[in-house]
Amino acid sequence: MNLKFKSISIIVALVAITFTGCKKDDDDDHDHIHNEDGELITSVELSFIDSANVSDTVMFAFRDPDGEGGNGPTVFDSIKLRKGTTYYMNISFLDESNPNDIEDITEEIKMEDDEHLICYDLVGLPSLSYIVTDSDGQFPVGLESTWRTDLSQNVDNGKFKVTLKHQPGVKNGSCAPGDTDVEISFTATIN
Amino acid sequence: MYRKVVFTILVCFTCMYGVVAQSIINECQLTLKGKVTDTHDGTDLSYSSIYIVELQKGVAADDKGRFSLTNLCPGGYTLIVMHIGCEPDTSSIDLKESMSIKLDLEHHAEELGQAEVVAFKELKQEKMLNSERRIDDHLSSMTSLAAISSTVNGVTMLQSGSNVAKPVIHGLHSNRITMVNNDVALEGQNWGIEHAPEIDPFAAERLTVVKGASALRYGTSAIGGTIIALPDEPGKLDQLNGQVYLGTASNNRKGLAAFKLNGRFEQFKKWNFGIQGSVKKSGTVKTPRYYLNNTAMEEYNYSWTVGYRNKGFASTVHYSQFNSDIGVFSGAHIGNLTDLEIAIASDQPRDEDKGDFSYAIDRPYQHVEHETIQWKNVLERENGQWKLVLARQFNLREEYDKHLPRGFTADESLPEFAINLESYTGSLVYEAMKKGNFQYEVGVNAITQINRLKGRRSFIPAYTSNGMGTYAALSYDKGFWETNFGARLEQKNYDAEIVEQRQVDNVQKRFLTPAATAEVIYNRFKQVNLGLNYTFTQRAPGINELFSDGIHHGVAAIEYGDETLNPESSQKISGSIAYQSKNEKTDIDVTIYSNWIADFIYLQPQEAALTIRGAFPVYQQQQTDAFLSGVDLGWNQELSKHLSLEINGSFLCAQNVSENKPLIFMPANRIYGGLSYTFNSSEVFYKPFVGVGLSHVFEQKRVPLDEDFAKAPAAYSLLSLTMGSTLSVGKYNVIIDVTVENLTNTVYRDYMNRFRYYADEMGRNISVNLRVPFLINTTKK
Repeated sequence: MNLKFKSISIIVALVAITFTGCKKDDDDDHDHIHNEDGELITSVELSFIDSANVSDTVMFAFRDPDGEGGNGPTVFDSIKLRKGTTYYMNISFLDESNPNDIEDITEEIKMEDDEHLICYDLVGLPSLSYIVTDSDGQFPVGLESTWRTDLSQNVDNGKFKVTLKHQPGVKNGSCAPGDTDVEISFTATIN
Repeated sequence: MYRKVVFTILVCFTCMYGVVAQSIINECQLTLKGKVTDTHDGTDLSYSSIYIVELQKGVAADDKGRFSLTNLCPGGYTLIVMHIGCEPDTSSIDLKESMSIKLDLEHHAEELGQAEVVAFKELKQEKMLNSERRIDDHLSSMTSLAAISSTVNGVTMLQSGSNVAKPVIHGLHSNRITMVNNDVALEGQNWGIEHAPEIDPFAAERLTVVKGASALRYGTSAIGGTIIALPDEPGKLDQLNGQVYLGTASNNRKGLAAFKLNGRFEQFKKWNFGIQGSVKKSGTVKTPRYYLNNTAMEEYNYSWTVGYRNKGFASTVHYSQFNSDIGVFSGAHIGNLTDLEIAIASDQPRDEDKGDFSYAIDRPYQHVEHETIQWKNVLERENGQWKLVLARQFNLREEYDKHLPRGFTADESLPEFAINLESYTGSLVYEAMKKGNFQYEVGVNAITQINRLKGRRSFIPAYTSNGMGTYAALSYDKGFWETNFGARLEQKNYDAEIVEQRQVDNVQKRFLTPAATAEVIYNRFKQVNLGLNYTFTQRAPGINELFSDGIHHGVAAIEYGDETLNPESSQKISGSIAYQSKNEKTDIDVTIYSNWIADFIYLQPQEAALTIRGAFPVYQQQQTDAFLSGVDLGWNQELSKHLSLEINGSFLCAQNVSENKPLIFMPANRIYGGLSYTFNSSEVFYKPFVGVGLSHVFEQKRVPLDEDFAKAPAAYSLLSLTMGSTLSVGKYNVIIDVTVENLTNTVYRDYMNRFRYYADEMGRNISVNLRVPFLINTTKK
């Protein structure tokens, strides 16, 4: 009797599992990829403002609106700066994947500045120097900086590399920790 | 008067009693002698135990499998025969006089739903191109299906870190291997190299590895081979029976527990059931020098079966679920080529990627679910049996990247991408009984699949796929000779939705692929077994090979598929020789194979692509002609009553013929030597043994120049130690096994681990596993 009871209860349990067990796609309406949920960084803009004449602004950009892979960048400027000038530089990051809804991601980076660092690496540009002027309170951020070109006669041709690091919890002022969100190597000319 | 009658009756009773008692004394002197052998190959099953349910009395067989039970009364008895590594089996005998019987364990005869493979005889020809592994014999490697498979010569593992492994057979893997779980081909993310097969090894009883494409029943695409997992068959015994497994490992502080319970309902003898489950949890993996941050994982699986079995008919419903969360080593989830180059150039991962021990699983991680429900029906007729299997599978794969989604509105709990693959399969097979020297089998099967996507990006498109296949196999034997033939035709259709520039483009692909196999086996006196197999097969390109488009963060690469790919065609010739000496002390088997694959699909490196995240290497799916050839060797030698030696090795040479260079990512040559010493059994310890093994993996010298990011790692040798025994604890047998892997805590990296760019392999690991089979006697007499 006892066993019969057990047997029956097992059968009931199994039948119950059968009817509750089947997994399925819980959201059948969204079969396709939707980009709306998150933002990509598709574009970077560097605005150099002449400190002697703030209305004199030059902007250099990298734009790859369809993101990584697929088509290559649509805009990939060369940086050209004048000798003997001091510039204020602002960098912005944009999501231009949807032309009808361009998002500015710079704001988010600013709000989470203790998790972000923008690094600049210069190769073959001895006449260019810079200091980062913003800070998260402890370490530099790199959204705002001041750039100076010297007065020497040499024309510099080199590489101007911009790296955006996402360093949640591991920011220490150096570029090594964290994940690379942006890494663009612009060609640059100083003359 | 009255009294007299009573007295008389009493006297008579006494007399009768005396007579009866006398006869009992006389008759209860019967002896039952017997011998236990393995039906598979007829070998003696030494030290089996034989238990008489009605008398609750048992006896152990000797080293030749012989046993003797004395002072038995006549009558019907139920015998339970148990042997390590075998499922217990029952036999009923009607004892009228002293007799001698032969007991076969694990007998397949008259059992419904037994294992079959096309060409059929393969499964039985263990020494031939297939290798069977009883799951319970591999306690220490029970962590994954790939680990158990890789105990077969010629099978290696392709790893993505320590927690994800998939089997590689003769150099081929992923799309080129079919996994079959309980008669249903597993439809998961087979294409993903960083994706392990979604099968719980604890649910399987046996694992058969078919090297090569000859298992035509399941499709034409298994150019590498087929791995068949067979679960327990419930209802073999009247008693409730099952096993409990417990295990732990020191390195990642793993704990695992699993159980199985099978039985038959006493009141409804035609009904049987089985239920099974396992849980596993492990923490951060430690290499000899540092921890690998975020390498914890957890997994839970369960399954149940309800079966009905009547004379000539069996119907079974089987449900199973596989769930896992696997942390991906954070140091392997990198931004771009610069990061990869930095990681390769440095000897150790960054500090943030070392971390400490933890059971927490953070981003990046993968979440995998697999659910199968199947209905299997077997109808036995006089001339053969019909088998109908219908199944639904649901596979969910979610990838959570290390890079959190951006944007204030982004939900951080959402995966970067999710793939929902829903598959419906049906197969109908007719297996004819052997008539004279002939036997044949025919079958049809169909599949329909829907792949849905969610998330912010994806690597493969949403698609629907339909397929149909039909096959026939024939076997003919005469004398020492046996031949097997098989042919199959398969149609596979894909309807993919390619999203480009926010436009959906429907792409249709249609593939018709044939396959054929022929095999000759010469088997003489059980001692020499020669086999030759030729298989031609075509594999339709997989969904990733046709349409993949995107970034693989694990390897920092962009991959592009090619819609114009054709099926690849493989022609494989394998020859094998198996020898067993007359005294059964020497076992040697050698398999030699050559696989010529025309239009072999592979990833060809291209010029790096420029993205906002820096440079990414680009790979393009392409076709070439490839040639893979190799040899698997195995030698088992019983040196003395106690000491045995095992030596095996596998060697492979793989060439991209069109471009005249080696194929990339092929397993390096390897050899293994092991010595094992078995002590005499005592009252408590049954066959205690201690073994030491040394495996050596050579450096993969055959690599194409400039295609890989890093050099192939150096050769390495690993020492391992195993000891174990069966303990008799009360009325239970406890099978215990202690294994030390990487005993010397050697620092090494393996060519077939995709994470070798970033970190070392696991250091010393001590694992303790135990298994307790149990039997609950519900028959009350």
